[in-house]
Amino acid sequence: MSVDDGKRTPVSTSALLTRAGRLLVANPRVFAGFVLAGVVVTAVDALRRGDPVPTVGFVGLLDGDISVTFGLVARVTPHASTPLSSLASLRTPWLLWTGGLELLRTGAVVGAGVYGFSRLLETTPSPATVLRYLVIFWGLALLSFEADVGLFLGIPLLILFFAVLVRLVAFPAFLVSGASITGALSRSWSRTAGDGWALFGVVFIVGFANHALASVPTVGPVGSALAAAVQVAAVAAYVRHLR
Amino acid sequence: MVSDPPSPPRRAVLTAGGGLLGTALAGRLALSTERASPDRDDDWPMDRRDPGGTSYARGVAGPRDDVAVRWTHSLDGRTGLLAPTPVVADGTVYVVGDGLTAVDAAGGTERFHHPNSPIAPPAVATATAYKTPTVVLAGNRTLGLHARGGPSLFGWRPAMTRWTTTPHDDEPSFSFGGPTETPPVAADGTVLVDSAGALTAFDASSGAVRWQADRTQRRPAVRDGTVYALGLESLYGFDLTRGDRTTVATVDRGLRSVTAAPDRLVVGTYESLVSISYDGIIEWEYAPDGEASLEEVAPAVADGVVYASFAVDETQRLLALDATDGTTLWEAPLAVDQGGGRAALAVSEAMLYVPTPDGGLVGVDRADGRVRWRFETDTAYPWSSVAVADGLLYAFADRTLYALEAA
Repeated sequence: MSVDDGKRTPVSTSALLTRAGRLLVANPRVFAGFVLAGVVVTAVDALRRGDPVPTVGFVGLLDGDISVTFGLVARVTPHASTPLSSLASLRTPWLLWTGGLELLRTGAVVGAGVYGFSRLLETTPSPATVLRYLVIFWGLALLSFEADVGLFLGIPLLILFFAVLVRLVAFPAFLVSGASITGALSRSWSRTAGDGWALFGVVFIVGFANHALASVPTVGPVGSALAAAVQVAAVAAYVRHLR
Repeated sequence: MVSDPPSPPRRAVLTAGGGLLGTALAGRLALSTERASPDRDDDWPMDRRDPGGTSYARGVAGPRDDVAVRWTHSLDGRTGLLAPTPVVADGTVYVVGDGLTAVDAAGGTERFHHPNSPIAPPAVATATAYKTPTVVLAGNRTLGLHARGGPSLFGWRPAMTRWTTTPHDDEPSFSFGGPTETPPVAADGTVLVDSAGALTAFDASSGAVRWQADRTQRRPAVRDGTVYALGLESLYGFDLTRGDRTTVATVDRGLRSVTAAPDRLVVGTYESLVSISYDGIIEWEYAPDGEASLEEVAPAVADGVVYASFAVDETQRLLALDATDGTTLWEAPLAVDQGGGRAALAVSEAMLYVPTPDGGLVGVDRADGRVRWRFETDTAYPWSSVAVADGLLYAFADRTLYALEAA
């Protein structure tokens, strides 16, 4: 239903998740793409844990960590990631090995995301679009950080974070549809107005599911990929709703 | 109803994926067996110098007739009065106190500082994946640091830490014999850390745990792929790679040190020295006549001679014993400062370097036990044990790191 006049049909979290499920059932290749990405991430984890380059493990539900994992662009949580600080002075072959595996892992997740949006939104991304998506994926990965800021500062920051996140939820879908980075940001910000609570519900449910499924030992990345598939489908369902 | 949209260019995706995998595999296949190793003859890369704990700088001619100060580096505000032995590797001296300070071995200028505060000296270990070794600090948590501090961006070193373990609550404590925090030992790319209630073997390059065993007593010694570690009255051997444990020998005495020399194991009890063959046979035991106890000073072994400090009838003596049968070669009335349980003797080609409790650092002739020189500061603070590297002596006293050279 069209909706630029402000009379858009309200959307609910349950409706978005239901439509996401239908989209995935109708497009099993999207689902398969994310499963493949999860398998690639799991395989890279296994290779990385056996090599002499440091990795940081995943802290999940089994370690007592309760969290919501919802990236602006869909991510698959690895169980062995590489801290940037450990790359200094790596011997060239090991730098190539580590960098190659990181690119492979990123390529699988970015590929699944772009493929998923393109199929579900019935669009064909250009190479420039894929490149922009990749840049955003890496940029967000580099910018991600954890901060111990205490309760008084932490709760307001958390509220602010989610308030911004739900307004930018549609950003990757607009990006894959051909918008520029700034154009996708502004379109997402303007078009999501009024749907904040419904989108927050999606962020919370899918984000918690992502963290919980990622917590499964060894094959957690495959579980995380399933949640990422639902994230892409839910965002695609929302953008289709906006049309 | 969802229509079937046009597919993204799958062949291009597959080609790109193949390229990435090819890059990774090319890197993996191109790996050489060469490692970034700190094991130069001129280095002193860990407590008691080598994995066996011999404290012997073979082939290094340290100061013989007298010493002079090459440089000093003040650590005021960064350490207390006592500090463990400095460690020297690849032209850098590492000393711990309030954090780890790395100093240029040639000129004494500071290279970098890390705020983590271990009690024990670090170990500089071979790092398979790196061009530079890893400096391993053991304490409330175990850290692997870039041996040169990593790249500096206007004084900020974001890549100083290569890996770290989760902090534990088992704070270092002190018993009657000294600190229970034992120094890490590096051997063949593995670092052994006795902390948090367990003896843990870490891969020095990745920080991955290779194996863990129940906590042992004191610094372990490593030779030829076996880790020798002390139980209360037994000497255990652990496979360095897998951690499989065997009992090497039972001594029926309280044990306080083990040294893995080329031909035998030398075990210090509370009142004697015991020589044990690598087959587990007790070869000899030495205890001086009179009311004797072995001091809290790790013995040194060099060229078939064992150097140790005993208290006999309340008088401290430095002894040299023939390692083949335990007979006394010479005996000198020299007290060794026990450094809060951290002390060790240091040996060069011709000399022994001994921190003494009256404030002086002493050079002793290995041939006859004669004191050749004594170096004292204006204050009477105790000296740390000595590291011998590149012909210089590195030691700590009065909140100052000293580099001493032949006068």
